[in-house]
Amino acid sequence: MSDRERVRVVLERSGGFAGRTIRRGLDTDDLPDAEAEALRALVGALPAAPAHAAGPAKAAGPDRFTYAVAVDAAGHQGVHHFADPLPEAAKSLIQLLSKAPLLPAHG
Amino acid sequence: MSLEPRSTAPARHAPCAVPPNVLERIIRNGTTEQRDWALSTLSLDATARLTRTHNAAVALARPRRRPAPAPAAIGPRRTIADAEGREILPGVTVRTEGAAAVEDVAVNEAYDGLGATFDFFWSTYARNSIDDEGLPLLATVHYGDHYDNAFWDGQQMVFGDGDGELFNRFTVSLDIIGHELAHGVTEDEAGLAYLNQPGALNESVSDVFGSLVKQHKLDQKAEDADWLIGGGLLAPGVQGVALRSMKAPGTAFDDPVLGKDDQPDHMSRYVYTSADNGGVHINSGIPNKAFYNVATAFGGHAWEKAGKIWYETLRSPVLRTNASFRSFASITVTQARTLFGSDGAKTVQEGWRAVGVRV
Repeated sequence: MSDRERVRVVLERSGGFAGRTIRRGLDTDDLPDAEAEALRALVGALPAAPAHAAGPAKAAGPDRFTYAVAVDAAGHQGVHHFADPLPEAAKSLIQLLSKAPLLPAHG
Repeated sequence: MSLEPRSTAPARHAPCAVPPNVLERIIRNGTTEQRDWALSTLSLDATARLTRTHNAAVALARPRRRPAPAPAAIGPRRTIADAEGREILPGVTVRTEGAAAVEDVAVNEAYDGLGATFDFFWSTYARNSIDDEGLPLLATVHYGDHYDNAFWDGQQMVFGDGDGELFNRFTVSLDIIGHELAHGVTEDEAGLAYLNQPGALNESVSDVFGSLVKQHKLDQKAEDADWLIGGGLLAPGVQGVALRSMKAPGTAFDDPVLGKDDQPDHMSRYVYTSADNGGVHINSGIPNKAFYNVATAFGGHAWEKAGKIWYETLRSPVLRTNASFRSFASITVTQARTLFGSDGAKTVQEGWRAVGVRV
């Protein structure tokens, strides 16, 4: 992934005690250079997106989270599905996105 | 407390052709070799109910040497630990059973909430902790960074601090603590699958007992309770009063970020979705409203009649892990008849019919 390439990521977190789908997102165009680079690196470290659109991940237990990470970047597009407990390769990205700006519901 | 083996209970997941009650007889009366075989066959079945049945059978087979523990020994046996913002379990122990309150409000809320939940199940249904065998209660607070959740992980309670934008700390509301511990009870007793209708029942049972823990603590009658789940959890600025309303599903919040509370209160508005394990937190509105209907129709303390009926339904050997609303409802009617006669059964029937579940 090149230094200047624009990367947009949207996290949809579902389940949990609340049972609501919460959307948060980051865009390298809106970030300082260092943070943009960190986001590119975390997205680059994700396991390959499935060739076919997969359904939502199944929660590990009652009130646990499931996550859908939608990536929009040249050469890397797709939706990654995860559930708690997170795989190491996705943990840092999801922790970062969990503090990202909120997006409207059902967008 | 039930210590007798439920050897007459029909098996729901017989792992082999020999029925569990026969295996139990072999455990009690067979030779060492036969007993080992029977035990290993029984233990192939991972359901909690059979494990307990088999433990009870083994306990009966053993000669009694020690007297039963004195009632004074029964209590919540709490430990509260602090994950200090990391995603580790259990973290550093910060308060144990009987220790004085500390400065950290989350620690004290978790301690008190675990105590209130234990007290509810023990004093109303003589249930000794999550597993009815005195499981010590462990809770971790300050789990993760801005972590937006509370959950029972099968062994212990976990509480996040919330992000402060949408959600406050998850120890804030007693019904949340009761809800999560009730997931442990459901897992132990009924093992309701966490998907579609049985999943929504699993969620609803947790809301029911979560709300009852709070009502019991406040000594409220059904007609005086707010029937809200997660009151106090929504951060300032979020437009809503709670996460769910059992009294009026679909009215708890309406917010640009959280969206609108979309819980149905009738089968005609059941939501089919692949999200949230088939909408388990959405469709739970239907059985929640049925419980509210039954509790307010009986009147008085909701845990005495409606709660007792739901609790005995959860413990019923005929409740299947894949139960539909209708099959769960029909067991509540049977339990109501056993416990409170035909008038009780009629009250329960009407509560379900009002939400479109025909029983």
